[in-house]
Amino acid sequence: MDQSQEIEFAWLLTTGIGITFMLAVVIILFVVFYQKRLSQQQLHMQELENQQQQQLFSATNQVQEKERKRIAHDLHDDVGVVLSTAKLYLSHLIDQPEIQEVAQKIDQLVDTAAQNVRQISHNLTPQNLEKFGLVSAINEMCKHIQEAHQLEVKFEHNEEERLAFEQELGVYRIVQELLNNGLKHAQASEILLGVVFQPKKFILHYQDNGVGVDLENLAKTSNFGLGLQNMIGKAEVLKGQIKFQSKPANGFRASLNLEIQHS
Amino acid sequence: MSFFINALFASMFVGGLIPVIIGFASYHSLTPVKRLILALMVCSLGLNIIQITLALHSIPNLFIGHIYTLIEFILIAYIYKLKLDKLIPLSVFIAIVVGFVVFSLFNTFVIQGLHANNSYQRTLESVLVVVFVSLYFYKTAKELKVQRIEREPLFWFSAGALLYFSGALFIFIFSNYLLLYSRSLGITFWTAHTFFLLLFYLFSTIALWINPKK
Repeated sequence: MDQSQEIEFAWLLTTGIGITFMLAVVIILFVVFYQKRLSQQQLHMQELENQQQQQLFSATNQVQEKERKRIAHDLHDDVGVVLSTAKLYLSHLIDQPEIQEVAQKIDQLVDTAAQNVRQISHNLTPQNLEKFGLVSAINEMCKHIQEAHQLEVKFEHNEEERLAFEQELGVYRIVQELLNNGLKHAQASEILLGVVFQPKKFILHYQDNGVGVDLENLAKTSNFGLGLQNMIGKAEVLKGQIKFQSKPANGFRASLNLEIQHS
Repeated sequence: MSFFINALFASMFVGGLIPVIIGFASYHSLTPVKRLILALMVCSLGLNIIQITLALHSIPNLFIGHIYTLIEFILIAYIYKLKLDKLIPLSVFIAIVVGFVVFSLFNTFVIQGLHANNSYQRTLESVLVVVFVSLYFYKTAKELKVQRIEREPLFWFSAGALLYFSGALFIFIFSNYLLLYSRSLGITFWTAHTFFLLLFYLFSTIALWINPKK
């Protein structure tokens, strides 16, 4: 091979190598950028989906609260009035000696029914919450539980600040769910609740000495798992963060952090 | 010139040694794909050492290339069989590997001979590996299961394999011609081959080093 042929061949070979090598580089870069762009799009879609889900959850919550309010009003205004009227008629019967004993028993039953209706109505829409705020409503809830279930519920708080009512209601429902879990599933004998109002932040702590749960293996279909999902959903609607910590035979802890929105 | 050739041998040896060290350092945590990459790097290093030793003792060493190419292709095909099993049926994989082995044996003993440069075998191997890598890239981009591609070991290995096999394809095609008619050109282009090989080793090292879970 003479020199000019050698140069020509070397040039052709270099061009061939260069083209295939560059092609390989272009393919790799294309795959990287294409994959990254699609991943970002997927992430964006997921964010949108999460946002939509949050809106849906929020709307469901609002409807649920409205319906609770309606049922509470109906119970209080309709059933409550009917029971009061029944009590009024009963007062006439109590004076008659031959049926006095039966009338007294019916009177007691009507009293219990009226009290239960008041309690259910109150649980459905905590009047206390709207009028006096979160601390008062949680205090009352703790008192009721302590009286009814013979367990110690300690509630600690600093100086209260009123939050937006939606936030207060959301936090109240989360506390309700936590206490409900503590009673139903954890079989706790001691519950510690604490709320901290900071200038821009609201923190809720919950701790019980119950049976605890393996959070990682918690089946999503179980009632307790659904309760946790529900609380996570409520915290997301409030734009807050809820964290759970538990191990079997080691109690259950939860903490909620929120940015404060004033009413 | 002999200093330059020795430097090439030394760089191939060191380049091949690094992924082997990295691979064995984290051997217990290696995934099946990473273990296959490590096996490939070990074979490459071992056969490189034999090839270099034979060359330094002026003993013909071209037969090593026939054996190495066969092992290299089977290992690479197995790596992609694990990842492309839904895209390419097992029977097709087996047919490709059996076809390649048959062709290699035929080339070694009939077409080019055991002591000739195995350019046909290398060229066919390069084309098949480029096809596997392209299919892997297509699958990765289509499925979007990988969130961060820069943390995916097989992506790095595939990028290295694509750069090496496509870059060196023309060298493989004309390797016999180069060595036969112009020694100086031959050395120049085998230097380029070493550069592509070092890139392949570098990318394989990254593949063995990174952990997608982190």
